[in-house]
Amino acid sequence: MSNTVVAESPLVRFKLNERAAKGTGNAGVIVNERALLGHVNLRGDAQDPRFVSAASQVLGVDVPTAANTVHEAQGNTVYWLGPNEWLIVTTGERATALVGELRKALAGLFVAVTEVSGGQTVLVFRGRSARALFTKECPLDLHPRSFRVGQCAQTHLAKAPILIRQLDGEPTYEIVVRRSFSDYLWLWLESAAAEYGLAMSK
Amino acid sequence: MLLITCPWCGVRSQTEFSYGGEAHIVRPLDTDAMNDAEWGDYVFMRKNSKGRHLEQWNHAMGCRRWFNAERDTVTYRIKSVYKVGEKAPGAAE
Ligand SMILES: [Zn+2]
Repeated sequence: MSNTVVAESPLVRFKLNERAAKGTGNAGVIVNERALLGHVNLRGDAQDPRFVSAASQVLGVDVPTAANTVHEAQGNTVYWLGPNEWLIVTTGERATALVGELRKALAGLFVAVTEVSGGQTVLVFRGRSARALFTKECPLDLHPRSFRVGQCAQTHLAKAPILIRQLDGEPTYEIVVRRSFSDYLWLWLESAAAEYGLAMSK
Repeated sequence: MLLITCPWCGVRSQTEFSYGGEAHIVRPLDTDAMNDAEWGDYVFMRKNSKGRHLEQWNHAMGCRRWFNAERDTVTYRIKSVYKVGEKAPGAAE
């Protein structure tokens, strides 16, 4: 019996790295998984300056208090999820230590710091048809007048709840999807992106 | 498809929301003193208004907050939304 624990992406059975080795060709949608990152859910009172400043200091980036915005610095990406809830995405190695540092800095305040790394994964969508793909079954208005770099939103893609943000003006989109929905979402993606050509990249 | 305004996230598709029934139903405090009729009224009886209706919605696939909406049950038009704890529009209480 092995006593080694190997972390695997929820998408491991689709062999994305093997498919990435084939190149992207003329594909309209190019996807890469940012697998096995560190994910931390943070809850606290955005109205309490002690909470906001202590958390921001640990993270090296201001906790965003404006709805549906995202701040990124020092290797940490902090997404607004609700008026008292944030998601922090960091490296896989950093997550556990970050939880400890946040709990220490926020001790005595009414907060919750929960590591959720195993529960979700991150996908990045590039290519000339990336927006067309999302407009098929994501009800969010992705037009630049209403969704821009620096914003994030929780919505759904097909029937899977996602957290989405735009990374650049191409546009490139990044989504966070739960482990339990990722298999379903990938199968949807294979058929929905077929008409544009779907390829993987590293 | 309705467009519903979440007080935090702004205008979003109806598919992101779930309906939570009539708003402003307050749980009775002195529950030991209540008879069956009063319990039945609290648990089951709802207004079923034709026209203006104050109701709860949850932004289930968004920020997951509950809020209240003022909706016309005839036209489905949502006239206003407000956060839990805020007074209903035009309410005297
Ligand atoms: Zn919302």
